[in-house]
Amino acid sequence: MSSMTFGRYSFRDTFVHRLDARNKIFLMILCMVGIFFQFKMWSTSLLLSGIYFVALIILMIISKVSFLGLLKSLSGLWFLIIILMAIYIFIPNSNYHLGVAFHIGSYAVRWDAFCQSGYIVLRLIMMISLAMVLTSTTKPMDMTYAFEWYMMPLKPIHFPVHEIAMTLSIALRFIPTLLDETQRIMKAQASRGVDFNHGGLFKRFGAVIALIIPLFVSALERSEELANAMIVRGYDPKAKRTRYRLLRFSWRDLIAFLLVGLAFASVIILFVADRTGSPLDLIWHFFRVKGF
Amino acid sequence: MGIKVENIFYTYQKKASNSTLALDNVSLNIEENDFVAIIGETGSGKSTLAQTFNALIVPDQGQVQVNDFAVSYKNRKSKKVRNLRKQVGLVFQFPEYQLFEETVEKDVAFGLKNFGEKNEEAIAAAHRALRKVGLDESYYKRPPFELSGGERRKVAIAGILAINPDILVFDEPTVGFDPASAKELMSLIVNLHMSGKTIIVITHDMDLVNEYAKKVFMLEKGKVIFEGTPSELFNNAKQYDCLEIPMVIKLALALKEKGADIDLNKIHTTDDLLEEIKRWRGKHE
Repeated sequence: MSSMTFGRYSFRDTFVHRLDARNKIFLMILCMVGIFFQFKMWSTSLLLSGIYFVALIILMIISKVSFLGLLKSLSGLWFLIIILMAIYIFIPNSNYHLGVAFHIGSYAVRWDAFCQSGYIVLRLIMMISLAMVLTSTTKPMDMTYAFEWYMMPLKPIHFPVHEIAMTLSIALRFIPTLLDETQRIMKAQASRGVDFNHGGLFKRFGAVIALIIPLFVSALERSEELANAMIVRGYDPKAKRTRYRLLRFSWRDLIAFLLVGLAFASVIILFVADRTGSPLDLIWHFFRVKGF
Repeated sequence: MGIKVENIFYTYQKKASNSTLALDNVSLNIEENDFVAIIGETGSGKSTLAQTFNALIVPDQGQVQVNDFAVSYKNRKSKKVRNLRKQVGLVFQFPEYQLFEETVEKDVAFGLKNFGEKNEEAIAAAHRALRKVGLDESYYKRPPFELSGGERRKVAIAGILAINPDILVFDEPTVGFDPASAKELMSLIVNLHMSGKTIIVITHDMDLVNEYAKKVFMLEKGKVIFEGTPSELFNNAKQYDCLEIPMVIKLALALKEKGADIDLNKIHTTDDLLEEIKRWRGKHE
């Protein structure tokens, strides 16, 4: 399955690869939130997007993520872009800053619609690249450990934290196995004359059924076998266990944390300033509220 | 007619750093109505080679001439590929995992219907194929997932037989079977061979090779390192360190060492050995 390379972990040794998974997830969420702040003026939003974009490209170069893989995965987005365009064009919006582009009948289509949809697509692309950086620099197992760690506070209320993490890691573990299985079944059905690449909608639907049912059956059988194997080896989800891999917060994490934190703080200040006036006003406002 | 493999190369994961050359300049010739065994260690390229026979895998270089169609990189998108798959039936390892229809007969007829046969004729052919593999009428309407592993495999094999291809490729057909079922399946394959089909069997079971195959190809790291009859293979067994010698041959060799005059080329089954011993005894007395 060569087309499934998107977001696969790549065995490299870079600064980003060595970061703690928990830290990486947190920082990525910060970045995503930062990206989603929208400013009053298009110029500010676009300028900031430009800065984000440059930062992202630098990040991708540092973490040696392939640009080609990103482009490939983005090539599927054109359909989304068209739908977004349509939505923004036909849903009236009161907040216009730019002029009229053209008329459809008596309905005025403004440049804002294009800006808005373009801006959304831009942000989506950035989100996807961020997610790709995360998944291709973090081992899936480390990622599940990180999720488990984040869910720890839920443990006292008997939320099945460990079980969920285990399920997640098993699911991740079996993705390649199921892909192999898919290919195997596709070949077997192709030998029986199924054509997965040609034919009309109805025929293709039939072809997919011939693939999905055996895949489900074998996945279910496999899961039963796995469950039995785990029980035989004394697996108990409630038991306390030690871990083979440990997550550690190092100086690298501190650097990354400070960098992203600083950037995020500046974006927040800018955002608030954009809404309320100037940053100085904001500080002034803050002190006044405190009663100084 | 038959299969003519001409200098084919095939690499898995061409772009990746861990790419492996699965087939390395393989050339071989399989005559019509032959019974061929392909042997070799795991990862030697046997299954890859077999999949080139019906264009599931298309060689990067070279071609596989099957009847009047050449499987090659140039022809990989040709519409005749479907026609080829009708002529070359491939039974995968553990074929029981490819069943999906509601009833056994529907599943067996599935392939034929894909090749454009009408429903009633496909079902009739399915019934014939099911009888061939030894499943009677009581199975026709049963859901395949209800059956045992062995029965499911028989259904899957019937699914290929129903298409009635001229060339049948079996990838380790008896693996996981009990000896009786394995014997039953092999006699089915022999019957198919008798009825004029070309049979290609991929296997690790040397007893099976010795007993049934007329010609053997041995693969190692994507290259053909032996081509000939089973007797020739086992007579030169010392050259190939990983080769397991069949039980009967081992016994015959031991007898020969003790001074018995036994012609190894004639030994394919226990009966053959018995005949040879009788012949030798007769000469001796």
